[in-house]
Amino acid sequence: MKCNKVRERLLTDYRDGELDRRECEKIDSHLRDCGACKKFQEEILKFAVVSPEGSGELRPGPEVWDRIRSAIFEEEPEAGWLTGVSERLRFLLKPAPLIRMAFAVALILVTVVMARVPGDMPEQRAMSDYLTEQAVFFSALGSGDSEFPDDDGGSGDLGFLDFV
Amino acid sequence: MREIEKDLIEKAARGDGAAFREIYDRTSGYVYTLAYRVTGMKHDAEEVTQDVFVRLYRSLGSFKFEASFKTWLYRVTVNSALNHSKKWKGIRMKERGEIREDIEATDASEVSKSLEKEDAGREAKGFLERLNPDQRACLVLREIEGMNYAGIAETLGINLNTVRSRLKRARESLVRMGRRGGE
Ligand SMILES: [Zn+2]
Repeated sequence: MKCNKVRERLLTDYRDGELDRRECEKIDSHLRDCGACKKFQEEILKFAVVSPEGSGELRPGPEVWDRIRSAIFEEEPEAGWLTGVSERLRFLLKPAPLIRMAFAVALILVTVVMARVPGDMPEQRAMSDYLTEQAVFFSALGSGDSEFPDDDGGSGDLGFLDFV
Repeated sequence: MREIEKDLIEKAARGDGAAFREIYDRTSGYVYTLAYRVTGMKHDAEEVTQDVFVRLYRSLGSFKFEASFKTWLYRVTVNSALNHSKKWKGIRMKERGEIREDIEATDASEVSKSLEKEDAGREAKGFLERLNPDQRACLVLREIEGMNYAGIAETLGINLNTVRSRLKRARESLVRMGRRGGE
């Protein structure tokens, strides 16, 4: 076997255990007789090694998961827009209970004012119902991690009763 | 990394967030480490990890169990890491080219000094980083992940002879660099 063929194998198949026994023996016998190839093999063993830098597994920081989570939630409003909206609102409102509470109170006030306006237009009543619903929704967010007031079989704790 | 059970994947595919989180907890260290070894940069490895898991989430529903989950993860991670290093390498080369053009009119010696420093820094970091990303990926899969040629070929979507020639060129470069370093 010629030196360049041997060296090619030394860099690849021989080194990586991809040769059958017969082929390996041919190379071994060449190495016994050829000092230059033997030296080349030593250089490979010395220089062409990958030190697995501590070889231990590294771990990504917690912010990587946060970014994955927000990328996933942002892309799927079709999973039910309400879930998406509540997810986003909860994210927005969670750090600021006061703002959350103020928002709910404001909605309730508007509802009360709407209810007191004389006249009984259907649009008005629909608007008022809508605002009531919103107030309940926001105060439910205020009560903690529960989904919607009717989700868990009526815990009864709608939160907004606490501060009305 | 242990193989992930089929029913955990199915659970996650049905929208079970806790199941997805469990898959992340059990495999993200592995993905991140592999990405780091291919790109050589922690910041790139983070971006690759993010990319891999967002892609995983999107493909959960259509995941075929013919290929093992582990193989899928290998392939997506290494390919994403390769795209990443190529993209950034291109941008960095372009920036350096622009710097070189800029300095023709200004103080050339200052900037070339800083470029030399940058090269020296890279050398200190290790010869492995100086291989091209394709060669490095093959070497990492072979030497650190212990894959055989067929496994590397499948993971990277290349043929056996390409695996062989990349490993050959990678090791030749390492030997050359080693000789120069020893002088
Ligand atoms: Zn020889």
